[in-house]
Amino acid sequence: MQEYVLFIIATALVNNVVLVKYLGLCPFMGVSKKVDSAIGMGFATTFVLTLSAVLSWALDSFVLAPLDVEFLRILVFILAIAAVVQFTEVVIKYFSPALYQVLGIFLPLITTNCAVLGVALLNVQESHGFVHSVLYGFGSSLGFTLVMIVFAGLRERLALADVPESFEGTPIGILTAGLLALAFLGFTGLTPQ
Amino acid sequence: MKTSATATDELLRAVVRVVAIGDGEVRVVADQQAACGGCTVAAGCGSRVLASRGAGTTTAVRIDGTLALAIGDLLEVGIDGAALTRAAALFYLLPLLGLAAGAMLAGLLQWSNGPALLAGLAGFAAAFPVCRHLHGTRGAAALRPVFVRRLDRPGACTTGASVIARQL
Repeated sequence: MQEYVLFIIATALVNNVVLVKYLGLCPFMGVSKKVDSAIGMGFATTFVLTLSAVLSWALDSFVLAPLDVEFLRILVFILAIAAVVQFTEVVIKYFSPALYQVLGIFLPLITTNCAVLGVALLNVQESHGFVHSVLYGFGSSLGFTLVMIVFAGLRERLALADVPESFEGTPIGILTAGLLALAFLGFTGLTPQ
Repeated sequence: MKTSATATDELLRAVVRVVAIGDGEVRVVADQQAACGGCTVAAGCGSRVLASRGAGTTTAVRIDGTLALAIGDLLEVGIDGAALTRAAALFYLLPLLGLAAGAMLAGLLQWSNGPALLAGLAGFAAAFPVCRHLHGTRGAAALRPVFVRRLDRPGACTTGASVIARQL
């Protein structure tokens, strides 16, 4: 069990998908102006990213590898991600139409989130088994959600601060993201991985 | 320090358009907004354009009220932000916890990948009825939009963000 906990910490903090691997920067910058949006986007991405990592692992292990057609990985994984997004839409719409009405706007954006494809590809490249694929996807998406919420909180405060005119908006956001990435480098070496 | 008019506001707000008027209720649709906001001011990444072409891009909600409204009126509605966060956490995270729990259990029992996959899927599927039970009718009611105010008819631009910005 300790191994699993360390694995999740390693993927969420030490190898954070946004601030260490630099994936998913578009939603990181675009949907992080308000904490509410960041939470909604983060939760929806967590769901899709974890399921995509699992589905792509299953497709790679049970279809692509036995047929020796691993060169089709990117194409197949993109289709798998689109299928997972559609599945998510259907499921959320069925179980909670109200939630779908509000958070459904994030689902199309997740399809084009490179972090989802990146994590799926990294997962199979690192030859994880099923359990570690689940934890890799879950940990990565938790890390994504964490930095989204932290960054959104920082930007909400920055919106109220007296920032020099030339730094207002995106410039101060990028500077803050850089400082946040430096802070996450402090987690390096936290786990033996 | 600057001040924010919405810093303490707990309602998540959206601009909706009246499409039908019933007895004590109006039926409204929300314009599909870009998730990142970029597409509302320029060509952007195109997610809003793509979304507007797909099915179900507009959503219909019912709100209470006996205002003298006409079809095409713009309203501002809001929903409880805390209730939304709870529902999102419930429906997005609980099934994943079921998936992870099933997978870790299989891992601890040293099952191979095939049975572990089935165990994970079983945990994932079992979580949805639990979500529905925990959410219940109270959770659904908390996500029901409430009327905030009526907006003036906008000019050329009808995106929610720009309408709100003009009103503030």
